[in-house]
Amino acid sequence: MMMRALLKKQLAELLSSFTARRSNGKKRRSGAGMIAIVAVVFLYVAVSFGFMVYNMALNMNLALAGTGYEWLTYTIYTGAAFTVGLIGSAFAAYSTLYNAKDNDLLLSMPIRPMYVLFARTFGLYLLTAVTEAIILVPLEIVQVICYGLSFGQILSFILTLVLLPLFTFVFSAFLGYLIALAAPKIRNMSIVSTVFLLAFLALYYVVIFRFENWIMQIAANAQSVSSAVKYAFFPFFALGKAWSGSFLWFLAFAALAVLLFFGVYALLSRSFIKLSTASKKTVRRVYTGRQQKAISPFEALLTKELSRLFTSSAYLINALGGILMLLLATVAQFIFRDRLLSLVNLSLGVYDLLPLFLPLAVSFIAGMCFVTAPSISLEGAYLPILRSFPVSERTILRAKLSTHMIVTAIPGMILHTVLCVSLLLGHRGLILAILFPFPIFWLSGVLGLIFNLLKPYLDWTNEAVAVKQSPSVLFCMLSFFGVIVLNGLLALALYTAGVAVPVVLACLIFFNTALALSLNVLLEKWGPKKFATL
Amino acid sequence: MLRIEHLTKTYDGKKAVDDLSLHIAAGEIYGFIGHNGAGKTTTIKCVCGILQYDEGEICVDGISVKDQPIEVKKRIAYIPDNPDLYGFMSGVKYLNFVCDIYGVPDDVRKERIERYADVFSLRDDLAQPVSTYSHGMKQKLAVISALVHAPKLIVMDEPFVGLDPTSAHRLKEIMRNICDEGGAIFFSTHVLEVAEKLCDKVAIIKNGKLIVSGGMEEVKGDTSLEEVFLELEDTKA
Repeated sequence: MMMRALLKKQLAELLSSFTARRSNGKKRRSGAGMIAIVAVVFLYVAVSFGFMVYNMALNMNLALAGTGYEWLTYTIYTGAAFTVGLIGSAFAAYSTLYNAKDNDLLLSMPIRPMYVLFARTFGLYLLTAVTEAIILVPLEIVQVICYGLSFGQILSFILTLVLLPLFTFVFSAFLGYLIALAAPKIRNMSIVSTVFLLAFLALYYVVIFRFENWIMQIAANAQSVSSAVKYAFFPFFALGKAWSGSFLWFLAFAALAVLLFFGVYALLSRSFIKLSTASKKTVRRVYTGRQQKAISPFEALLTKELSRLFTSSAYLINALGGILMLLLATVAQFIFRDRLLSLVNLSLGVYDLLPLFLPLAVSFIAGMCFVTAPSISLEGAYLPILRSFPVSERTILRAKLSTHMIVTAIPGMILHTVLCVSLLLGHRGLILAILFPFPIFWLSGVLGLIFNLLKPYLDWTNEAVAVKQSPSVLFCMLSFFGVIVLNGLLALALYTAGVAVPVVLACLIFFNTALALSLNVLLEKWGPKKFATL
Repeated sequence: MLRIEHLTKTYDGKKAVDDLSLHIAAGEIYGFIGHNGAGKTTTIKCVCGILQYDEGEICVDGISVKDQPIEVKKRIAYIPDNPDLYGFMSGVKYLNFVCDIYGVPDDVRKERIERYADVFSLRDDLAQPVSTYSHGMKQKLAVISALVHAPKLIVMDEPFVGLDPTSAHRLKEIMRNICDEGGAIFFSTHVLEVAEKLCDKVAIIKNGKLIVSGGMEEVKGDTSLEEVFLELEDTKA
């Protein structure tokens, strides 16, 4: 009964991030429609990603066909599912298990801490299961197409769907536990966790970019690879062997997963109260009485927005992930410049189109900077105070948009200019190529605010959920990518119609500026009224 | 100073505040009393321009909240029932932020911040992040942030909750001083003894409707405010 109530609360919390919330005391709107929209969007993302997995797994199967190592595909892809699931849940584990606002409340109730932990674990497990299913389902489809359908394989697949997330959870929960142990001792947790998450992301991109190459190498060296994974990656080796018909291997994996789960769960249960209520170590700062210079209300709001951004790791990563990727790309371009240019020139034969491709690619990255999309949601409980201040709603929204432009557009445009000058010197349309992403950065900020005004999530218990999982962020991302796709299609249409690259660039800049300007006008007129009703 | 005329605020068809009228003059401490869910916080939020209302008019210093919300907000300070202040700022940064928003000049803000921080024994913690503050410390910071810009009207929702006895006593003294200097205070409370001792006038609200208002002596007569409140709660709808 108690556990049921806790699980219901956890599920409600998970779903509530997808339903509209009005803080003015009115009742919550029905979330069913919203959940349906999010489900469709999720399906779209899952199908797009799944299609990529499908193609890669099919290629690997073709390469391994008849070698006797067909099971390696299953081993490699369950390993990939584990990696993606782990990256997706490692940092969520810390915030979900130890940082939830209602931990104190639940611990004050006559509930055993291990039950509270279990309910939180359940939410994390579901998140991991859904993430991993995006890889496992297309993998199974490929396996069925290539090798037919058997009862053993279906059973193996279903059990993998259930047990692989459990196995992943063991590692993500343990990582969360280690972070919780370290957190009270770390002064600047947001910066440290940002660095860790970026390292994870870098690893992820290395894996993605090199995956195709690795598959070919694995296929060419199947024998040595299979003996290597047997020992180094035993759990995935066991899953591969289980898929090939040896159910005993599956039992071995299941036993390992369940055993590890109970081991980690016991460890977490014992320390849950201590870690979830640990107070953060802070160096006592002494008030020096230093006079602070007066600034305008707009500047004060801007400073407040920047302070919030740079003190929240989840927000910082979502906001500046794209810029950091751009920074890496710029640095990498200097190191691998010759290889890159020869690849573009020789392999793709599109060197003349680089002034078009480069700004479009940078613009795509600009879409990964979500400063404004969660910024109204993050006001949460602070909203009444903010609205009691003698500043107009328009000023508040402008401060949020300006924050976006300062932290994304300025460094983004500098890095893009460096890239352009380095790669496009001598090209006609260099200036236009440099200017291209500016309206895109502007557009992404405006879109974020519009969607957050439409779908604010104000009663969050976990800030990371508002930053990462709220519908405004999702819709902002998808609509922005829609704009980039539209840009790509327009560019293609104009170029194939014989329009010169600089003219294509000028047309797209005009289109994007007009779009950003129109939406900005809408935001200026409608936004303040909407903000006043939140 | 504050005129509320026929205020009505509806949530999904239910009237949270129903045709409420109150007049608060300069120099008055006005207590606002009612059971949980009576409509006190809704009224206060309407006065502060946080909530939009359906009917009626609210004027501060003769200025309409509906027509000129920014001008009204410049004249008032609001202390919420739950001091959710920006946890990512330090106490002093939050106070300077409030000073910037209200345009408090350089030459007076430091003196005011330090004076009120001393009054509420918060000076030593001013440099600490607000997220590390206890509930009482946050409440003190909320009170100081309301005082640093020297508003004409202070609107407070349960201001004594979380304050230690010394701070509560000092706040009462400050409230009286502000009113003696021509300001006004409108606050809600469940502590009837405090209201009885502190307020010049009092209003009792039930189910969104004003059931009695007037001078403290006039309302309570020979009995206590508690007795009047309980009696009115039982009898009037």
